[in-house]
Amino acid sequence: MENEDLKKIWQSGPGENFDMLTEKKLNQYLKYKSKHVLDKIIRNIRNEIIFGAIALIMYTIFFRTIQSFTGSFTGWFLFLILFVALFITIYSYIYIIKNHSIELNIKRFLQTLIRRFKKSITVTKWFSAFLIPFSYGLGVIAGIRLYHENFTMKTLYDDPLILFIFAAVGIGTSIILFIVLSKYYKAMYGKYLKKLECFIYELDNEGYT
Amino acid sequence: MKGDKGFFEIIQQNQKILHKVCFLYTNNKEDREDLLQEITIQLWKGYKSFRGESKITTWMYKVALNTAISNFRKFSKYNTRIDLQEQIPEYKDETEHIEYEGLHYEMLKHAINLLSDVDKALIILWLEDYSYDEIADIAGISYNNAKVKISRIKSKIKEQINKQRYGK
Repeated sequence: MENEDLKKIWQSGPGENFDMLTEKKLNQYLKYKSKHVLDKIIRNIRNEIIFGAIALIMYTIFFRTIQSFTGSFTGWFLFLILFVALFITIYSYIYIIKNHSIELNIKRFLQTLIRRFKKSITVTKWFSAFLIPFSYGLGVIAGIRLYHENFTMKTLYDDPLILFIFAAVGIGTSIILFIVLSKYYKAMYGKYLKKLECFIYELDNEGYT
Repeated sequence: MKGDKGFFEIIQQNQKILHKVCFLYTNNKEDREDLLQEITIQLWKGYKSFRGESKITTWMYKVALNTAISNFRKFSKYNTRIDLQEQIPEYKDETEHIEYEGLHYEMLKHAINLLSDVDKALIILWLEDYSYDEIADIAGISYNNAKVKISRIKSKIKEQINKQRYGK
């Protein structure tokens, strides 16, 4: 069997045994959202930006109307966290849009995809596991201050039991969230990422095939 | 999203590329349709920025192969190549393909289906008459690497076809 035989046979397939792509059908395809993992990541980040912006606006309104917040360290700190989180999200969105292209060569495309994917998982994991309990804790302190004018951070430090409960709940929630999210992402995408890494190894390694 | 005439014409003229890639990277009609749709969406997204630096068919192959290789759905539904041999039924030639000295398209397709996703991509490009230089460029590997790999893949395919034809 010659190489040319293979090429001739290849050119003959897959025959007319497929549905022709009409203009109507193509238009129908384009009506749907992409199911590609990277497009899903981009959509998620976009939603996070919208959600973050709304949260920041709402917090600013709340912040301005309540006097005890403007004068408090926790109030400002919470505002700063929200602002930085939103800034990082917008930055990663722009970075992905600018640097990702499905038209790259196969190896570079896979490398970019893996890197983006891993980064996105890591950022989500850390943000969710540490930012949520931390912001929640600060929110609680700020809330307590609303009702107890003489409540300060010093009050918290002076009462070891409150501090202990606060720290235990916060750290515990963070650890549990982190473990749950890690397991979830591993179960969901672990096999996929491993396979993509194998593809790169396969491409690089001459002796693999 | 709504496509434009120029885009539709390009896709329709070269639709065989999409069908070939979809046929090789999926195992059933439902997945094939899904992959075809995904590739079309990716092509449309890329079409707006396509500047004609490469041949339109090369660009289409790049997008189609990248989409097929990184298709997440099949990882969640199917196991990998190890199980493929069990999943693919014996070939049966239902269409009127060219027969060349007892060799059918379905035989070739069956042999290619047993390869890994990366090997499939390389051999498709070789079968489409791309030079080793072009293949190396599309895959992102060196010229020598492309040559060595394709030579090994061809041997594997021939061996598999011989098994189908003569049972050895």
